[in-house]
Amino acid sequence: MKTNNYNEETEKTMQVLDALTKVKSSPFFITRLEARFDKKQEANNYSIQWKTSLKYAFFIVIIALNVIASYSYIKGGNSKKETRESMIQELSGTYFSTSSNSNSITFQ
Amino acid sequence: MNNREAFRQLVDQYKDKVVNTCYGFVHQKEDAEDIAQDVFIEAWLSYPKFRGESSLSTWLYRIAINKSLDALRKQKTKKYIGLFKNLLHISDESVDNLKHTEPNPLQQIEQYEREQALYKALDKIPVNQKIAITLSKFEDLSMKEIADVMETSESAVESLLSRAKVSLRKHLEDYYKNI
Repeated sequence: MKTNNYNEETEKTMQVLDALTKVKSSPFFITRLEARFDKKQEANNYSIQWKTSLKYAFFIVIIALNVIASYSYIKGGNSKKETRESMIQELSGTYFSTSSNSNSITFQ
Repeated sequence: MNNREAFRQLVDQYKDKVVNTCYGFVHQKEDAEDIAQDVFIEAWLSYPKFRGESSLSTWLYRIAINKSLDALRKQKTKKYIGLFKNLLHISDESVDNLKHTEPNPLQQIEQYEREQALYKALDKIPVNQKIAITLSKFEDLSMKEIADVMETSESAVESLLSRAKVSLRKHLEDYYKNI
C-alpha cells in the first residue's frame, strides 16, 4: 500500500541518521589555511601601517595650524598695540589740549 | 613554542571535528572546508578574548555553528539573486556552484540518495533543532556537551532532539509522498 511505502521509506531514511558518513579534512587543509591566514595578516599589517601614517599626518597638520594661528595672533597683537597707542595719543590730543593763553585744561 | 606551531597544533587537533560539524550544515565538503578555515582564523584572532569559561572544543563548535549558519544565509541570498538573474537571463557562475557535487563512487547510490533526502529535510527544520541534531548525529556529542555548546540545559537539548526527529519524519513523509 502506498501509505506503507512512504512510511517505510521514511523509516529507512531516518535510520541513515544513525549511520551518517563523516567527512575528514583534505590533506592540504592546513597548507591552504596557513596561506590564507598569512594573506589576512599581511592585509591587516598594511591597514595598520596606513592608519598610523594617517595619524602622524593629521598630528603634523594640527601642529602646523596651531603654529600659524599663534604667529597670526602674535603679529596681529603687536599691530593692535600700535593702533591702541596711536588712538590714546589722538584722544589725549583731542581731550587734553591746552590753549595757548590759558593755564586751564579744556575738556571738549 | 612559537605562534605558528601553536596554531598548527590547534588546527591539527580539531580540524576534522570542525569540518564535519560544518558539513552537517552545508552538506558540501568543499564549502565545509572553506567555512572551517574561517572558523580557525577567527578562533586564532579572537583567542585573546577567550576567557576559558568553556572548553576549547565547545568554543570552536560555537564558532563553527555561527559561521555555518552565516554561510547558509548567504547561500539563500545568492540563490534568490540567481533566480532573479535567471528570470532576466543573466548567467552567474556562483549560482552553478550551489549545485550538489557528484556522488562519491565508493558510496552506494541508495545511501547517497537517502542522505540527500535527509539533508533536504534537515534544511527545513527550525535552527535550534538543526543545531542539536547536527551536533548529536554528525559529531556524536553527548547531551551535556550539546547543552554546553548551545548554552542551555540538558533537558532542553533532549526536547530539541525529540522535536527534531518528529520534524524530520514529517518532512521526509511529505518528500516521499510527492516523488
